[in-house]
Amino acid sequence: MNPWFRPLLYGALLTLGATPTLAQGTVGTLEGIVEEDLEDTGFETLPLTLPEIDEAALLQSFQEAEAIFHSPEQDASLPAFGDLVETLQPRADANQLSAPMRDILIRSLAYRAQLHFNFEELDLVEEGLTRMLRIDPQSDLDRSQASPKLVTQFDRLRRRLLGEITFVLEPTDAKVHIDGRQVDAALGPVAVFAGQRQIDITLPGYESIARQLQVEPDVSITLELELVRVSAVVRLATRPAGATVLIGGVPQGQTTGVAPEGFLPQGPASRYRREEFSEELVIEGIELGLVLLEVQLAGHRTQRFELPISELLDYPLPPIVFERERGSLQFNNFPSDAEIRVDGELKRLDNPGARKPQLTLAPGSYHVTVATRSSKMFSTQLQVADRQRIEVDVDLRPGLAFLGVLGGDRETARNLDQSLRVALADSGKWTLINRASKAPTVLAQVGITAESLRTLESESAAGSRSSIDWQQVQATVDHQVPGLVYVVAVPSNDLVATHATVWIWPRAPGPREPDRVRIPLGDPQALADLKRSFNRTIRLQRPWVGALVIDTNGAPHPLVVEVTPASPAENAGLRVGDLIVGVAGVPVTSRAAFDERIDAAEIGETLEVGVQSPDGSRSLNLQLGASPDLLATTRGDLFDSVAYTELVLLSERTAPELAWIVELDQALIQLRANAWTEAARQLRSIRAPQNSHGVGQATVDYLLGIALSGAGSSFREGARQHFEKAAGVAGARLFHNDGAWVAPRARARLLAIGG
Amino acid sequence: MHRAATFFFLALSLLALFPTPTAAQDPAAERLFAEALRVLEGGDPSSSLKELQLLVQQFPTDRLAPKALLQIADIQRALGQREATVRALEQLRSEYGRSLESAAAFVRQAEIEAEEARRVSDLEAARATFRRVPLLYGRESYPELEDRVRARLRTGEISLQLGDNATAVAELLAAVEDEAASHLTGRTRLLLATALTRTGEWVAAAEVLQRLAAEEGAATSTEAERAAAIRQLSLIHRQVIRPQSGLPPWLSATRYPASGLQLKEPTGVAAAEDGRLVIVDQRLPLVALIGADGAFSESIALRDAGRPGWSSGAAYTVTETRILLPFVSQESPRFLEPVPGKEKPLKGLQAAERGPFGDWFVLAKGWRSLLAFQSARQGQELLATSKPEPKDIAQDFLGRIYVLDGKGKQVLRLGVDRRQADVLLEGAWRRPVAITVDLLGNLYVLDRGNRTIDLYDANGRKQSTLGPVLTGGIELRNPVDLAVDGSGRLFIADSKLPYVILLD
Repeated sequence: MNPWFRPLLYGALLTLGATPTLAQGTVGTLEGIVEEDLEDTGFETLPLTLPEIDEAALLQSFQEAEAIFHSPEQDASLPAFGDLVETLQPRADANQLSAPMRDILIRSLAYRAQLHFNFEELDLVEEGLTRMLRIDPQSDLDRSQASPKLVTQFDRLRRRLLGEITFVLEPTDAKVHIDGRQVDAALGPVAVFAGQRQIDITLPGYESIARQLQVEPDVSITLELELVRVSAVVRLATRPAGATVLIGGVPQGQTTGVAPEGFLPQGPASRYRREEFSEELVIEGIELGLVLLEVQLAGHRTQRFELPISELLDYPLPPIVFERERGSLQFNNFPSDAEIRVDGELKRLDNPGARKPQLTLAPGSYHVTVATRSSKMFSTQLQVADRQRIEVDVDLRPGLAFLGVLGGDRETARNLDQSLRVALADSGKWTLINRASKAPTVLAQVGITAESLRTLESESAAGSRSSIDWQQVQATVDHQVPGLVYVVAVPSNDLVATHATVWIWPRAPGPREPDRVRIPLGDPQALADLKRSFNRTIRLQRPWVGALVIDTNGAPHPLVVEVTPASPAENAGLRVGDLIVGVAGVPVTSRAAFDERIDAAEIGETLEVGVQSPDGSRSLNLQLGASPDLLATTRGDLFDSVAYTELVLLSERTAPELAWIVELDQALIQLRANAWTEAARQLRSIRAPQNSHGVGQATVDYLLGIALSGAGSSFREGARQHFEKAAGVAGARLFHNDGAWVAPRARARLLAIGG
Repeated sequence: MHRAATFFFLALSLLALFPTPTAAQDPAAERLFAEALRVLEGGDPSSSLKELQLLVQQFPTDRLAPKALLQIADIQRALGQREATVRALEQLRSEYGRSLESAAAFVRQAEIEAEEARRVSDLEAARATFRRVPLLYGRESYPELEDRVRARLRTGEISLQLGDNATAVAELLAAVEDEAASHLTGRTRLLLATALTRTGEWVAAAEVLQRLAAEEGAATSTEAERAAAIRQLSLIHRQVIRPQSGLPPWLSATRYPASGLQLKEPTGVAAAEDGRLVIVDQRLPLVALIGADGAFSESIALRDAGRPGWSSGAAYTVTETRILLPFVSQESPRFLEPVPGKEKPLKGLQAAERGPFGDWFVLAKGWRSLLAFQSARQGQELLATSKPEPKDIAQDFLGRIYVLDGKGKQVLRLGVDRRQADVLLEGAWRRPVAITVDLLGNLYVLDRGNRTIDLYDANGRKQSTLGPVLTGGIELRNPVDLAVDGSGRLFIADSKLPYVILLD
């Protein structure tokens, strides 16, 4: 913006032409009224402290009194007007009346005078009218309503009490104050209470004039005055109000109020409504030369002008529209279904749907979280400056919300909090979201405190059902503290804790039972184990051999005791009774060693397997098949909460033909959490392959039978049907295609439920 | 000393019951409980009982009351106060029926019933009590209840004893699959594998066993349980896979033990399930214990040792007048002749087996029957009508007793109800002297006259014959006893060879 500014209006340069002629007079004493000259008392006048008044109630009282006045019971309105006068008069005397209340007081006095007039209490009439004129010499009766006799009395009183001044001013818009009260001198003669009056004439940029003037009753004075220009003036309004104006770095004032009617924002400001602008701030005392003008408003960009003041004129600036200070974030890899929160508050992007969407922010430090509907998260702390654009690479990972440490002495809690955050953050797999400050309040809403978790731990250890409704916990925490997995730690006590229990639970609809793990305090290994548990991965498939291989004391090598029909093992020529002496040239002496070699290989890879049988030694080419790998076999120290969460994420990127394995894993976790209904619902929806060998629909049927058995006796028939189906597939397996046989288990389950 | 140790462990278990400081309870009850713990740990169970009883009386609604009652029952049980124990358990079950401790009360009650069982119906009653626990304390209210797991395990175990293999599989499977893994899991899996094997599902059993065996370092199983799994797998290898592959169950015959003990005239041998061996040598004379690893462990000199055996993990040997447990400090049972009105000590003991109900089955010189003793004075003659010439006895996993009749050249099998004996098989033996049974129910009969061992399956069908020359060239000269361990290794005592023969 061009800092140079040219005044829009040029006022006439005025000089004080002549000393005004002042009619000298004495302070008169009015009937019944003593004019106090407080200026001469030598005491500082202090404003009276009067009780607050209810202006609305007073207005209503006035309207009611007025209505009575205009009714047949007019006389009955006198007490009401009396009360109003008694209430408002002291404030008028103390100059503490608002304009509307002043008007009510004047009108109440007028009505009361009318009533006194009706009662022929003429003294009171005069007293009231006098008071009225003292409050405002310009005040008048309602001449169309008032009795002509009363009007006559009033006019007589005016002549007795008031004089008149006619102001002839240059410039004509100079402000006139009589005894500190502004009067509109441009409209003509001004009625003035007789006596010595203080006249002040001011106009920004001009030297003020102050005069004492003796006003005589019924005498008209003309006051001609010309003000002398002494400085330039800058006028400005801002949007919004509240801006501080500095000249040469020195504050000159602050914009306030609302622009008056008639204010017309122009240029760029015309887009905004009048009410959004402040009143005009007038800055006077500006000398000739180049003026550096700064207009500041917190949170907004400061406006600066260089103003060449070549003449002592008024310089009205165009309305100043502030722009908020803004920085912006530009996101790379922003998913289309993601939402963004800044310090926990949901935000709308400037250009949603754009390839690189943008978010404008005021300068400051922000915690920015991007989360998808599938609950992957990205979280970062950013410092945004005005006019700065920051490119943010969105790296979505599952959100691990750390809810802090509940209980424990301060030092223990602090150390634990820090070490857990470090351990959990040091992972390439999760986005750690620290919610420690907000979480205790949220958790307390659902009854989770250090005490309640300690109690729950002791109850759970004894075998009781959780006394905490974890479904409610999930619902509340999910809503208020977004995350995929939640972690909170509780030291064993608040005095001298030796260990802490870490509680872990997933977002709904994950298992509604938390995992918990005890960690000795100050044990780096425990934290490392915890970290490892969070970083475990779930695989959906594993290499398939198709043989049951056992360890036996009777041979130095693992022994084949079963070969699955049409399996890789059978295709390779492996037979029952074969001893596996080596895989890929590496000697094998145990089943564990054999498994290790197989696990290290890829699905589809061909391994050379050395076998020994009663017929002699031979070498086979075993091409590994693919087998589903259900969670039970890989679980180890993987938490169910974490596993479930990972499965949710896995489901997004899993090939359709493997989706059933993910679903089956989720059902297994629900089964482990005794959530039979949820497990049954999940299992019913799974469409697994109808394998005659290995993991397939028979596996699902078996697990569904278990879920239905657990769900209650009313589901027994359903359980029986599914167990029967499972029992009919002799080669069906649990866990994986080389895992436990389903059929004998299904038969046992049938027996157990009376099938 | 022994008693003090008992109460120390009881005190430890009491400590485990002690609620966490967060549990809401009356501080006075808490102090009483702590005091009971203190005095119990100090070896004063009667004072501990008083404190606990006072707690139950004064604070019947406190959370500690059922814990105190359970502890009273445990202390009374340790003191041998059966009636007081049962009373405390019944009070616990009736007055605190929904407490966790009431589940423990059911389990303890059932354990007492099982311990005191003297017949099949007693065992069935104990099993029925165990089965109530999962019915009353389901997972919906008690997600992880160890007493429920224990009850399922014991139900499975007793079902195995009763020959109800299908029920055993169902209960043990539920304990493994439906319950959280615990320190009981290893044992449960072992029993499940046994149950599956007995229902003919040996492949499924092998899978279960292998999974257990592979749990190295896991908290859910012990080293001993994993070793037992390997032994069972080895038995499957020996008795199922080798024959399927055209191989004999035993591929080698070697001297045993390989070192550490030089025998002169071994006359008796008995193997524990875990492979430990007890050997009797009448010339040395001694009874020797060989560890599962084949190393000589210890021995005692004993002149009149007869056939050895194993009972509840302890080796014993019969002597002329008693059953001696030489390597443990336990009382040696003696018996009176089972003749009403006489109080004459039984002499000439030849062989003995301890039955599943704690009773002893004894063969003695001069008695052409099987003598069964519930106690020293409560003996009776079984099989007396068939007048056998009993040479040896053996017992299978069901508690059935096998009697080798040297005269009739037959094997009689006495059911677990002890009511009826059947002729299981007859053999063309010249001088049968010893019999043993493996974990799969296979029978081995040693014929001293032919210097052979005949192998029969559980149904009495002959499978094969070993000897007189064994693999590796060892020739049987005067075999007198044989034994089989949990992995099917066969041990033969030949009095004319200075070692025991191990067939593996």
